[in-house]
Amino acid sequence: MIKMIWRQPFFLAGFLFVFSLLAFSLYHHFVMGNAIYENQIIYEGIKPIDKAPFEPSREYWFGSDRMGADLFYQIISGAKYTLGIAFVASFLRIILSYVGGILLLSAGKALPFIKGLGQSFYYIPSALLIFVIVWPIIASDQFTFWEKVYFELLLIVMIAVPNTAILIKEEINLIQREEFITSAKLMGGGKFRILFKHVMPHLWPKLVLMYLQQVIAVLLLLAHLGILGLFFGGTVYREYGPEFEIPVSVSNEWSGLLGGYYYQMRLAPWLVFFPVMSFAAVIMAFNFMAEGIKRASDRLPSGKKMLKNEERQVKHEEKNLSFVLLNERKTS
Amino acid sequence: MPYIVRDSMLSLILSVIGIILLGSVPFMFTGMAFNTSGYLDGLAELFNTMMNPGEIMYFTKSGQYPLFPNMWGIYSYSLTILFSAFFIALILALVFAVIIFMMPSRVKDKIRVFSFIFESIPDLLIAISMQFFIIWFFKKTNILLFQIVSLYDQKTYAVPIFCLTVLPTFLILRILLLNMEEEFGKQYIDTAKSKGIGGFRILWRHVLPNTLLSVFHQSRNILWFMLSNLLMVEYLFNIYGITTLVREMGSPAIFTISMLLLFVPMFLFFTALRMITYKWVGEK
Repeated sequence: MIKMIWRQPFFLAGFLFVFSLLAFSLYHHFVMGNAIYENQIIYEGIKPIDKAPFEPSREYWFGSDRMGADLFYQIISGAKYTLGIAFVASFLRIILSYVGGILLLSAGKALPFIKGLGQSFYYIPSALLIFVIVWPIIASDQFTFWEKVYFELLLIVMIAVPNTAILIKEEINLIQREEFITSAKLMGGGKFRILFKHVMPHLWPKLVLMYLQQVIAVLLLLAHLGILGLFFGGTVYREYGPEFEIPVSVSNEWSGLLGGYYYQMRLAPWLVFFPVMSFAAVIMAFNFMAEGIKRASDRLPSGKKMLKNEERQVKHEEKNLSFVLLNERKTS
Repeated sequence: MPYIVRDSMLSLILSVIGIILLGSVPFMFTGMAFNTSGYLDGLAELFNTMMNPGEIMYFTKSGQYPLFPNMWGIYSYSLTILFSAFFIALILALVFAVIIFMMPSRVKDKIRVFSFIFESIPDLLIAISMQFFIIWFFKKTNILLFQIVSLYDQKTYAVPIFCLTVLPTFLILRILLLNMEEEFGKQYIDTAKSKGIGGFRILWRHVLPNTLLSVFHQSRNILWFMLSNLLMVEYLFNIYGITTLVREMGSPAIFTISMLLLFVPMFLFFTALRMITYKWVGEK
C-alpha cells in the first residue's frame, strides 16, 4: 500500500509541494532568523521614487503591505503555523472520531438517535457556529493569547467529531461484513482482537484519506474564520503614519494575513489575492495527495483490479435476482 | 412507505433537538470554563425566548426592530439565493455532462482525471476574484456591474447567485461523470445498444436518471457546502441575509431561530427527494 502511494504521481506532486513549503518555512525560521524585509520608501540615489505598499515586482514577488513588509516572506513565515494548526487539528479530529467510532459500535439502540442528532450539523455552516461561540471570548481582554488559541482549537476539533465518528463506525461495519471477519469470529477471536488485528489493516488507508480530507476542511474553515476576523495569529496594532493604526497579524499566520489585509483590498488587491492563492494552492496539493491515495487503493498490485471487476459483475447479478427475501428487502 | 415516513419524522425531531442543543452551546462557557448548569439554564432560557418570538429584537445601525415581520424578507432573500444557485448548478452540470459525453473519449478521460482539481478551488477565491473583476471592469469601462457595497433595501441577485453556483456545478459535474462511467459498464446498456437504441437516447433516458440518483444522495453534503459559501458571499458582498443577521447579532436565540428556519426547507427538500427516489426505484 505505502509503496503504491509513492508511485502515484498525484500524491508525489502534492506531497512535494507541501513538504518544500514547510521546509522553506522552517529554513526561513531557523536559518534566516524569521526576518521579513521591510522598507517603506524606495530611493533612487537620494530621491524617493516609490512608497509602500509596493506592487508585485521582481524585488517584491508578492508585493508588500503598507508597512513595506515583503508579502512573500510573510506568507512563507506563516505557512508553518497555518499548516501546523491544520495538521494538529485534523489529527485530533481523527483520533477522537476513531475512539468515538469504536464507542458507537456498541451503542446498540441509541445509535439512530445519535445519528439523528449528528445530522443537525449538516444544516449549520460550521464557520458560523464557531464564530457565534468564540466571538464573545475573543473580544474580551481577560484571557491570554494561548488560552484563546486552545479554546478555538478545541472548537475546531470538536465540531467535526460527531459526524466523522459516525463515518468511521460505518466504515468499520462495512469491513466487519467481510467473510474473513466471520471466520475470525468462529475461531473465537475476541471483539477487540478482531478490531485491532483484522479490521485495522483495512481501516487505516481510509483513515489516512479521511485525515487528508480533514486537513482540507480545517484549512477552508481557517480561511473562512480569518475573513470573518477571527484569527489565531493574535493581532497587534502598528502605527502607520502619524495618526493611523492598522491591525497586523503577529505570527503572519495565513488566516490572520487574509483577515487583516481584507480591508485594504481596494488599495492593494495583491495583499488579499496572494494569501487566498496560497490557501488555494495548499488545498489543491492536499487534494492531489488524496486523489493519489484513492488511486493507489483502487489499483492494488497483481491484477487485482481485474478480479474486482468480475466480482462486481457477480454481485450485480446477485442483486438482480428475482427472488428477494422479505426481511432482506426491509433491512437493505 | 410507512417506514420512510416514520424515519423522516424521527430525523426531523432529532435534528430540531440537535439544532436547539447546538444553539445554546454559547451558554456552556462562562468565560472559558465548562458550565453544565449554565448550559441547562441557558437551554431553558432559549426555549422561553423562542416561545415568544414576537419579543425578540434585532439591532441595525439605524435602530432596534422586532425580529419577526422583518425576518421573513431577509430569510426569503437568502433562501432564494441558495436554492436558485443549487438548481442552476444542477442544470449547468447536466448540460456540461452531456457536452462532455459527446466529446471524443480521449478528451473525456482527460477531463475525468483532472476534474477533481476544480473542486479544490476555495469558495473565497471565487468570490474575491469576482470582486476584483468587477472593480477592474469598472475601471476599464466605467460600468458598475454590481453595487459592491449594497444597501439595506437593495437586493441584488445575479452576482451572489453566480458566485454560489460555480463550485456546486463542478461538484455535481464530477459526481455525474464518475457515475456515468460506472453506469455505462452495466449490462442493461448492452441490452439497449443491441436493441439499436441510439447513444444519445440511452444517455438521456437511461443513464442520466440513474446518475441523478447519486446526486440526490449527495445533495445534503452539497447544500451544506453551499451554506458555508453563502456565509462567505453574504459577508464579502455585504448582503444583509440570514447569516449576516446571525453574525451581527450573535445571540443564541437569533442563531437558533435562523438555523431552524434554514433547516425546514432543506429538510423538506431532502424528504421529497427521498420519497421520489423511493417511488422510482424502491430504494430507501
